[in-house]
Amino acid sequence: MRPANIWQIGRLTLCEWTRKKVFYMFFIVALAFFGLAFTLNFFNLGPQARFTMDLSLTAMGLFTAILSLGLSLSAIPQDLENKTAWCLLSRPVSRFDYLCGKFLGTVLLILIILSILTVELVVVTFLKENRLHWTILQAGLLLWVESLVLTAVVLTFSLPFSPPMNAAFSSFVYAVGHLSSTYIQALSQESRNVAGGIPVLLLKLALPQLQYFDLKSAVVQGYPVPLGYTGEAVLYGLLYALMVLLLGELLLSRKDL
Amino acid sequence: MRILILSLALFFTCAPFTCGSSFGQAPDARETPRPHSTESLEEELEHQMEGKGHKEVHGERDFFWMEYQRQPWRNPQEQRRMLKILLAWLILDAILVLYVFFIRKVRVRGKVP
Repeated sequence: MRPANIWQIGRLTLCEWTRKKVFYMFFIVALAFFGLAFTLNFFNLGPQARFTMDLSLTAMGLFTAILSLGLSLSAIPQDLENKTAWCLLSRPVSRFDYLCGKFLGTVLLILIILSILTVELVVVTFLKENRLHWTILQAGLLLWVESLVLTAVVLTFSLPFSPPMNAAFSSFVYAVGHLSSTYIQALSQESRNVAGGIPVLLLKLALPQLQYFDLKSAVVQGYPVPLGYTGEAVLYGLLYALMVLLLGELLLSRKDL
Repeated sequence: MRILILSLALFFTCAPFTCGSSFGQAPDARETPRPHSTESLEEELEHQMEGKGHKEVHGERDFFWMEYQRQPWRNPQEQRRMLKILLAWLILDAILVLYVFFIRKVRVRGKVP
């Protein structure tokens, strides 16, 4: 593993993504949505700022998920189809470097876009309420960490599965990962006496706990989130993404190119 | 363009269902005390975490309140659980790193061509 190789492939991937125009459209729509959200008048109920923050953070989460899914879904299959992966791998570049490079390029693009959207939301909230909501920055950071996990999962799934199957499996992981512990607890209680208990338990342990990255209610209710918690969640996301990438490397090393 | 239209349609369909916290289901704890409750929330939470199911307090089944209290950034029990999961992933990662970068390399190098 060479960090210089990973950085170069990541830079190339980032350049490749910036040439795709459809994502600029997404970005501009999201930017305009956040900016205009405060001009909407929700029946003059009063807590407009809360509602708008909730809506904006939900939009950010969905936008990040769509972006990481849309970008990483075709990243490796497209390279294999265009045979650009062969040119790269014929040089002294290991397959793990290639996988990590693709991952790095994708998450860098998401980081750039999320930073702009988060700063915009902080500024717009400040202009409306005259106080800074620092929790929005933490929520933005954790959304990015969530995108790390999702990108790693989609990239790894793109090795054994075709893009449509990959999209279905990754969406499932995203949806189940967001189920809160209450629902999983209820599921495991219901299936305690039957053979279904073991799959539920495995599901609970193996799938990413994406609700750890959801600070929406903290932002909306105005509660401070401890920095220790944010650190733990970031560490969890990094460890999970690393594990999935290592599994991806095992799959890629056995793949017949 | 088709993807864009589809995503926007999906977003505007799903957004009202996903924005739960500002629709009054989870009230601000500082402003709205839990009605008719004499027991501490922690006690009730522990009861539920032990797998005994939801405890009825004065016949009131406020699921959304419980859900709000179980937010991991807010609940120490969820944070302890998170630490355990973190430790498990750390061990798993260490094993995988050892396998991918050391054990497998040695095995490949030791093979007779």
